[in-house]
Amino acid sequence: MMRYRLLSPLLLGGLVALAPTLAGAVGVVRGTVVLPEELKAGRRFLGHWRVENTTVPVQAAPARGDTVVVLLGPKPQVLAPKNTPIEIVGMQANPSTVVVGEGAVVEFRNSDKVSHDLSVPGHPEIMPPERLSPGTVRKQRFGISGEYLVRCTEYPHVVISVIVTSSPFFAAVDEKGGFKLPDVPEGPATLKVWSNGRWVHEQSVEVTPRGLDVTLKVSGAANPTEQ
Amino acid sequence: MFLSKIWFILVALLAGVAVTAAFVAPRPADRRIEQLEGQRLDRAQYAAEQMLKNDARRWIDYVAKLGRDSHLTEALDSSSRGAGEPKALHETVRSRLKALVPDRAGIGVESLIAVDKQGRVVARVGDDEGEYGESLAGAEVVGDALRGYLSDDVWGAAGRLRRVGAAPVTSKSRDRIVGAVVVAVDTGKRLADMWKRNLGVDVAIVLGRNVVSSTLPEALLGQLPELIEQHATEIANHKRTRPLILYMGNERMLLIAAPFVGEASEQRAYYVLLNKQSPGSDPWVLLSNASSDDLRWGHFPWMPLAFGILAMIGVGLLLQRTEVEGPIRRLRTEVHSLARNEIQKIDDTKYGGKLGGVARDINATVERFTHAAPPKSEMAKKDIAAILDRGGSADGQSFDVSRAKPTPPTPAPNPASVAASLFGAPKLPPSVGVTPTPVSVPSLPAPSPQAKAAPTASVNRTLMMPNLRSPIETTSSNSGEFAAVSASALIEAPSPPPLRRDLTPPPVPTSTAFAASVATPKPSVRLAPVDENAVHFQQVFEEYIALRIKCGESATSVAADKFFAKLRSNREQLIAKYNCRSARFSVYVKDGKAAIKATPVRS
Repeated sequence: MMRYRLLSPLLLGGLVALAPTLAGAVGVVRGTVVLPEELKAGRRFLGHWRVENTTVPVQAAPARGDTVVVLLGPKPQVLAPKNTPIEIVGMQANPSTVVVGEGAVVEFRNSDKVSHDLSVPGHPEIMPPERLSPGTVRKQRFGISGEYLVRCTEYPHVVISVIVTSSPFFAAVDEKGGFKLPDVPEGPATLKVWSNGRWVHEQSVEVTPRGLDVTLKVSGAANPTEQ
Repeated sequence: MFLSKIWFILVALLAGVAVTAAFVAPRPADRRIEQLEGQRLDRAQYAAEQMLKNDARRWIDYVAKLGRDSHLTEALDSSSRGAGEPKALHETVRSRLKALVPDRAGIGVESLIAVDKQGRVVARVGDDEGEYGESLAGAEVVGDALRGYLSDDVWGAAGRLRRVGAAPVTSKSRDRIVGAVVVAVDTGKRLADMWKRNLGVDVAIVLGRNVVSSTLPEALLGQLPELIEQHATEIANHKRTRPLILYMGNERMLLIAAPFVGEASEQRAYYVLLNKQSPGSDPWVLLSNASSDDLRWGHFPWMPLAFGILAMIGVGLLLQRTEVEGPIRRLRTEVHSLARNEIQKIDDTKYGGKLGGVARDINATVERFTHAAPPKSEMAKKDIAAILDRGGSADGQSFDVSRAKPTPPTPAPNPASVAASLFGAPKLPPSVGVTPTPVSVPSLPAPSPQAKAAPTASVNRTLMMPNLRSPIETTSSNSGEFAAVSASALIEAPSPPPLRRDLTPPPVPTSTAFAASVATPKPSVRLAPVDENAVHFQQVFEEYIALRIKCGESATSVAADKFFAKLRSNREQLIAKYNCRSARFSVYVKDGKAAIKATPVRS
């Protein structure tokens, strides 16, 4: 009995260690996204003036999670749909970008003291305008792959990016631009960067069993593909 | 008529040119005015944009100055650190803001908001003064201020448009940011009125599909949002529209729309500068705007206009008189002369155009009635020609006895013996007739009543037509028909020349007259007492012989017996052919020679 008790964890650990090998080689894709200044400004809508004060240094814009890296592999993969919550508080959405599978339901919760009129402009069939009163939740299903910008009519700076994809490999970029995609099957793949409501970068990569470390430099002149 | 037509065409062309000029000439000026008005709106829009920018900077500086207030700094620092009672801080900050901005409405401030380092509202003045604690950190202008930026924005919410300025509030030690102050400025009626005063144009502020505020009646600007929406792409590319035209009731407005900056641009917020356009170039509109002063003697070229009109009328009348009335008058005169037989034909070469055609028609009509004999008469003349064994004349109306078939070269018959042979009387010895002796005029028996009536009844009804060369003989004297053509009808003269109906029968030579006329030796014919035709034939024969002598023709070449026989046979032929009662013969001069013509007598 004692021998079985000692062997069981070893056996289980060995199976876990061999699982990727049995299923095929996988690796970790990690890297850094270098955004141009205009994408790091932190403002979508500028007024006439934006000048620094002369007393204290200006702080960098906080990362709001609106830059996401998505890896699209050659092998067909399915991202299971699940409910994804988004909270609107302090006149901003958190997170401001979500990646969901086809058929997923996104829950919009309004924690502000003001109402928000949310919709996908130009696609009422996807998400028609509807007033979201303070403290209420709106659940919206996204059944078709694509990229959708959910906007608030009253407060246009409130923009929520909903990326509906079948790829389970995606990650939000941190304040330093780093990201990490674990358990990526080996083989050719495409890395795409979503930031400020549009695809700003796309790069083909070859994922090896040892993993991949890339630096994605987003050009300022990148072709905006805002949806 | 040619010059008159040319003149009418010229006048019509002139009128067309004048109308065209009236409609077209104002167009370039209209375009120029529109261009100038557009340029004026361009400058106004530029000025408005600069005013917005200056205002934004002014409000940023204003709130930056507010943020340097020590009371505010301490309160916001306390709130940022979580020290102090929020309600107490709220009251403190709100009181301080009111103290700093005592005339908030007077300077156009809708609300002042003080937030701490976390973006939480500590206090606000103006809208929702009692509300505090909620976070505004997500608002971009607030987030920028909390990071150290002084910036502005435009918000469009709850159907209102507000320009916003925000500035950070630093700690007393000036080493960190402890909060921010936000000011929201009225962007409605106040701004529109100020721009109208400064720029001299009307202003409308549009948010989405609503006109937020305007210096014009907003009810008249219902189409403005839709018009701007149609030029959304142009606005996105050029930050403004080109001058557009908006019909506001009966007025035509020229406008330029430009977007507000900031978040409001996403909400389709525009400011629109409008200017009433000058009246259109429609001549009626221009005329409706004319004042009595415009028609004053010194302001309007009355004299040239009057001279021009009079000149045009004068030339037209002159041409009318020269080319129409004058020729018509002359033609009438000639027609009258023709009717009076003073001239033989109208000189149609003097008349051009249609009047010449009328003159030629009159001449042709006269010609036809002069030379064209009625068919029956023509047949009769042909019979006469057959009688005399001569070819009918060209016109079939007369017979030239001189061209008769030459008689055998026998001694000239004695007219009397001829007549006797004709009418059955015993022939005289040839010697009697050969010797030219003074003609003993036979005493002709008085014509019977029927014979008298016949010439009277068969009188030539002669219509004295204008420009007729000779009277026109009717073919049937009793039919009452007249071969008449009214020449005056052809020229539509108001009073055609009167037709003279000559009902006087041709003079029937009496024995006395015959004796007088035959003064020269002529054959004498003794007539047997026969019927009236014999008397008539004798008269005709004698008249014919006398006329031949008078015309200088030979009287000896006519065989009396043959003459009478032919007359008789011709008469019978006419009666048989036309079913008439009798036939009468008369002599006349044709081309200087004696001729005979026959006329059927029906009654």
